[in-house]
Amino acid sequence: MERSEIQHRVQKVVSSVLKIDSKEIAPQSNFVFDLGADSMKSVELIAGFEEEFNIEMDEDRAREVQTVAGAVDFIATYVQ
Amino acid sequence: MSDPEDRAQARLEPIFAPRSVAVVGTTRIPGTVPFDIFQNILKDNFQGTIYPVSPKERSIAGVKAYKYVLDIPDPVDLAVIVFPSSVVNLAMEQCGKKGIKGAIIISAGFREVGPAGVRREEEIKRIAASYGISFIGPNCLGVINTDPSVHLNASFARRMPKEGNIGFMSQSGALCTAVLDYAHAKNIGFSKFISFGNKADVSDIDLMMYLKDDPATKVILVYLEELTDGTRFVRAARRIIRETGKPVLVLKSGRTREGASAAASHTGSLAASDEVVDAALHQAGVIRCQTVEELFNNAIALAYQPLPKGRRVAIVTNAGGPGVLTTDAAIQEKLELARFSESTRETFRKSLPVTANIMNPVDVIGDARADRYRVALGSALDDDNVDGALVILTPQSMTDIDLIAEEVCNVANRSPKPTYTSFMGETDVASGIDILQRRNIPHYILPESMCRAFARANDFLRERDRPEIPPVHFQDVHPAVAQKILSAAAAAGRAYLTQSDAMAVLGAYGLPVLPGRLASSPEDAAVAATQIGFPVAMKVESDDIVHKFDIKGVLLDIVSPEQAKEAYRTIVANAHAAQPRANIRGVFVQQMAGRGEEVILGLKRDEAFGPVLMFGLGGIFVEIFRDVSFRLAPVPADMVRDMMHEVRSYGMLTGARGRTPRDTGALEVCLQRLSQLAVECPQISELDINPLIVRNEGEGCSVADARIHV
Amino acid sequence: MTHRALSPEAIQQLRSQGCYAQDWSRVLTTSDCDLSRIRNVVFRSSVSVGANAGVANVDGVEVPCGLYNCVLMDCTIGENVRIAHIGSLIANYDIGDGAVIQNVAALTADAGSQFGAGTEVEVVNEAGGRVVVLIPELTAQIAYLQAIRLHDPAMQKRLREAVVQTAERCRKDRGAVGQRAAITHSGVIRNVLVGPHAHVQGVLRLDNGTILSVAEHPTVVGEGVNAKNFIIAEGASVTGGAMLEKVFVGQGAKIGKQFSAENALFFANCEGFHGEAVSLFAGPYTVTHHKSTLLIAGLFSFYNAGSGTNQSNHMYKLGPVHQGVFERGCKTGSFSYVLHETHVGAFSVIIGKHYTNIDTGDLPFSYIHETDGQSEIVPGMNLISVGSIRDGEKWPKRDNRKTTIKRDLITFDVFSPYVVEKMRRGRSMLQRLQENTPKEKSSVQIGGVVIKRLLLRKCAKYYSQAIERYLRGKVFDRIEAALATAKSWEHVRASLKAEKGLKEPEKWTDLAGLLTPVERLTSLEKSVGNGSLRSYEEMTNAFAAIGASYQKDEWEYVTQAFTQEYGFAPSAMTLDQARDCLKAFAEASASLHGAVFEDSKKEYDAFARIGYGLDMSEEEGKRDFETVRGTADTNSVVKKLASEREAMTQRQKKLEALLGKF
Repeated sequence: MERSEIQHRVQKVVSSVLKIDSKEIAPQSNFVFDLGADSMKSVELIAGFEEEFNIEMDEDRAREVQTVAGAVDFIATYVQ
Repeated sequence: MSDPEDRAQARLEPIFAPRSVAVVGTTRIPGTVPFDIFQNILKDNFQGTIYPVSPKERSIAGVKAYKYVLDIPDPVDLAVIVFPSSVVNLAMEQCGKKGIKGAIIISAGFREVGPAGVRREEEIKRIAASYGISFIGPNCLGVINTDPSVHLNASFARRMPKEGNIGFMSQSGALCTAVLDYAHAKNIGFSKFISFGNKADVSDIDLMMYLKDDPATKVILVYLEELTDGTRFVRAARRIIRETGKPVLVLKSGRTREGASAAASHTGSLAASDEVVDAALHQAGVIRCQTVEELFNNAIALAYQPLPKGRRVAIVTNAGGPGVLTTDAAIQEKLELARFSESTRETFRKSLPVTANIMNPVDVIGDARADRYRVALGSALDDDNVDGALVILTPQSMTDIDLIAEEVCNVANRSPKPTYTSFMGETDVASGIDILQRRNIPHYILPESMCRAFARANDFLRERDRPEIPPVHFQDVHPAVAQKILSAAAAAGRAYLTQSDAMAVLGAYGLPVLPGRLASSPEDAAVAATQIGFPVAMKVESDDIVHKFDIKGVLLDIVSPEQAKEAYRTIVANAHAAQPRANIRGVFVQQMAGRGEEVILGLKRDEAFGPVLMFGLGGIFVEIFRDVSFRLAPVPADMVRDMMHEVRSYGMLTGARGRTPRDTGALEVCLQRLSQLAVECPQISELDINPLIVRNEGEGCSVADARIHV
Repeated sequence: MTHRALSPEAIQQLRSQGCYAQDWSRVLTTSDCDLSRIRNVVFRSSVSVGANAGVANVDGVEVPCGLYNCVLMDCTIGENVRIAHIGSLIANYDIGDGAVIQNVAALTADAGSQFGAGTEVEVVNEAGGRVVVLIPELTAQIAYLQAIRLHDPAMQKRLREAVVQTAERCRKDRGAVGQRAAITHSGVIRNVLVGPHAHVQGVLRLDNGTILSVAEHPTVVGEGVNAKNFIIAEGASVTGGAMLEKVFVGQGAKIGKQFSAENALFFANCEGFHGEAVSLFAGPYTVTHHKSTLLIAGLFSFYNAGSGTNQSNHMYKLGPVHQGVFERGCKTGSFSYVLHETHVGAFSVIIGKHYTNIDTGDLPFSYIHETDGQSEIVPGMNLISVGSIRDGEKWPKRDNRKTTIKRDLITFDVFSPYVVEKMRRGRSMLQRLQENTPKEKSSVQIGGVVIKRLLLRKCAKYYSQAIERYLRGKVFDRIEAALATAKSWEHVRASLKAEKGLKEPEKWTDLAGLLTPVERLTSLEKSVGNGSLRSYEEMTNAFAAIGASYQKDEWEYVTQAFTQEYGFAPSAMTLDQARDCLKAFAEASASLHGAVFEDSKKEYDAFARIGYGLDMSEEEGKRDFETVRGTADTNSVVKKLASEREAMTQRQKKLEALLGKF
């Protein structure tokens, strides 16, 4: 999978879970600081990524991901 | 000379007296810390402007919210950061760019959680330093300033305390909430209330110095969990007390370090960390308390009433029993019952009923109403022989408690002398107690606490006003000699000095050592003994043997060369028997000390406080009773004397019960010299002079045995 | 010492000391009774007085024993008693040795009073129908039977008979104040039995009650308390102006700070401060500390109420007929609100206001919160929050009961067959929903609340991990124990067999704190119903027997569930399977533990904060400051978690090594 596709789909999930406009989601956006995700939303995001990419993520490491770009990189390790 | 501590006021101004506050990372969910803190600032009437910062919400509790700190159009003095620890660095960066100079970081997840947290903490320190931001925390409960012009509750404590003149600071958040509740129940107010968490930037000492110069704070209360930089703490406390006269009270639970049992010397094992802390605080003039209750019992006396200039108390009571109890408690606390002047007694005679007791305690009888209390208390306070008054009330059927309480407050507040109260009972006197508390008259449930607080307040006055006497500096010393010996020992990798070396080091500082030298054979011992002069003492010389006496490695009163040879053989045999693996280098032959009292002098270098001196009477007094005193070196001249007198068995030296008085003057000089040695020889980690023989008055003293650990 | 009538000189002496008797011949004293210590006493009817040479301690002041300024009617006074300043009179009481009664308005008993026993308390349903009859020996389990198990009329009839019979035995002709009890500075006390060593001080009014008390754990009833139709058990503390009407306060429970309760039962270690309770069945460790908190029409246990917690039990036009069940371990956040009928699953946290009926019994460890007015649930979220784990450790440590007999039977385990089976059912429910919900739907309805579709699989996974950790963990506990002495793998396997004792080992129930297989309960109920358990004592013993078989029953459950989950029984496990099992156990534990550890750092987060009690009340804060060691600090919790992780790894290595032996 191309990175750009991963990025696009990640943004889609984030937009849907956090209910914000895709326009406001930049690669360097920090989930907590810029997008306002709390612990509940974090769980949802992980579930959303897992479903979108049909993968099973290591939750311990998933919880360390801080930014959208970080999520893209992390997911890339599962789909490439 | 600008001490960083002196800049505390300027640095902390934006934190304590901000005109605008940004709550960074706040949310909308009630019950969460970010929301609660915002709510607290808002509902507790902060006098400035509040800016909630939230990435998601457009408003919080009706107040317009900003996505980023940088979006706030106006200048901001203080940022209260409540974001999760993972993004606090981003928040700090923005605060820096915005020009915010003060911050309180509430978030947890830093140093206290382990290496990852330490890294996070280092990063925010770096960011803060680069922008010149002073911050309290992280991992703290927050800060409260009750000054009406600020009125800031930047904490998640449920309630804001009332305004008062007591400043409180604590590392532990859990304790803070409990203290606030306790104080609320007793109507105690605070000027500043601070939970300072990890101390990554602003330290407890910075805060103390801030409170030192804070006009709203009259008394400083500190809860300490650990004392890492003891010397700085003690110095700061001393400055506060000396420069401003503000009392410093410390609540510290007594915890002994486990490592104390593995100490290398007597002093090492006796100077467990808590005793040293006690001595250090005492020496600094700090009032140490063991419980929250004790802390506040003392605080209210010091904050609300003038300090008693003496210990003569007048007790005013309306019932005999409690009056007696109070008398007992007063005597216990070494207070004196004042003797009223004739004119005071005349006033009592005229205005109180015939059955009233006009000696001290003044018993105004069970049916006393406000007028009798007024007269009794007023006249007592006016009497020159009285330093302060203790007012007792027990509810009787005719007692109009509220009126009496009001009257007591009126009279007390007109007098430059202190008045303390104890209204006994619970339900009936509750409203009276309330009046006393509201009008800032110290009230105690028990007469014992009342008397103890009075005594401590007077102790503090004496401590505060005590002239600073420097330590004695001896000129007739040879530091170079000592340094040479210590360097040689270090170079040779030795942990202990030999007896000869130890005596030489002590001798270099003028301590009265006895002539002696190491003998390496029985014949050599005989020669040495003859040279030194009989009688002699002979002691096994070995690094591996600590308790020479116990293993029969010491023989005294040797009066002939033959005996010396025999003694040598015996000592060596005993040592081999007791500790076959010990490396025995010979036997030290030394002049006998002569008869006298055995005392122990010690030195230990404490991690937190530096060199600590110890004194006690030898033998069972130190072994079984642990009757010793400690002071931090350098010990001021008058404190050396205190150190000696503090030891309960000191009377053994001064001629109690028909004993001959010993040469305490010479002993004092020894302690002073040891103090100087402690400061000038930092290589010494532990030192025991055990025993120092103190002979009769005028005959001086001698070091009979010493052990120095480097 | 025998009591004798007074000599004329004695009567003269007493008269001169201000005493008066209707009939001096009915005033009896022992020969060592110091008459000079009887002043201004009016004797009515019969009064006997014992030795009184000692001293008593009142308000910290030592005062002489004796009788001063009181009217005594039909009383027996023991040795070294002090009675002073009684407002109207003490009538019809036996006063035990060493007791102190001073400054009390009146202390009287009516013949034939039951002293609170027999009081009918209507719990859970404010409109009635669930009645618990009070007796001094009331246990949480018996109360549970009375209040909740109404489906079996035969059992109820016998049960009630036994209880009422026990209550009848409490009917006495006279009141009693136990040895060394103290009643001081109080108002009118009528028909109250005061147990030995009890402290009753400053009460406003007590009417028709029993205060049980023992020397090991004296009971305290303090200032301003106003209680009617009550029983207070040993070691409880009721103070601070509390108002109680038809209330049972269990062993070690604490009620204070203007708490008001009506038709309420509080069992062991409950705490009630500042708030209100109506029609409440508070099983052990139910705690409500904050102002404006109301607990109404509900069954709770191991529960913590945030400030302002509220419920509503009203139904339009039909009145207050609804009720709620909060299974063990729940917490409600500040100003939370639920609408009864409610059934909240165990160890769940409720935040916010909910205007829908929540029914989530099979979804334990959930967060139920509201977003934009919509009630949402995140099942299993509480498994990864540090709070519930801490609680599990906290409760046994905080068992306040110091008496030898602890009446309420309590199972402290957080993870038990009861809760694990719920998780299995909840997991199936979530999995079914997951399969049947199209992707377009972002959320689905479940138990009156809504769950995000995305979370269905994730939450089912959390449950799976917890179930796995429990089952494999229990098996490994046994293996570890066996490995210490086993000579072969066969030996180890043999120790994993379970005795078949239950027909349905997966069906469990929570009897107000005691966990047990349902069939044991129904069997007990049958025995009650058919009269084989006749007396109250027999019934309570039967419950104790149930409690005693917990370990055995648990193991039977574990083997069955394990077989169902993994396809083979523990006792059939091969060595390879054991190794795989250990690996899986370690993974499940690590994953959950890791999540908890992460959670512990986020103390600012709502759920985490409430979860581990950072929302601390005054009482909890006070407990910690009393030791001045701040144990509730996040720092110590986090440190503990870190060291646990280490311990877990070590244990795994050790087990691997032991398995390697074979």
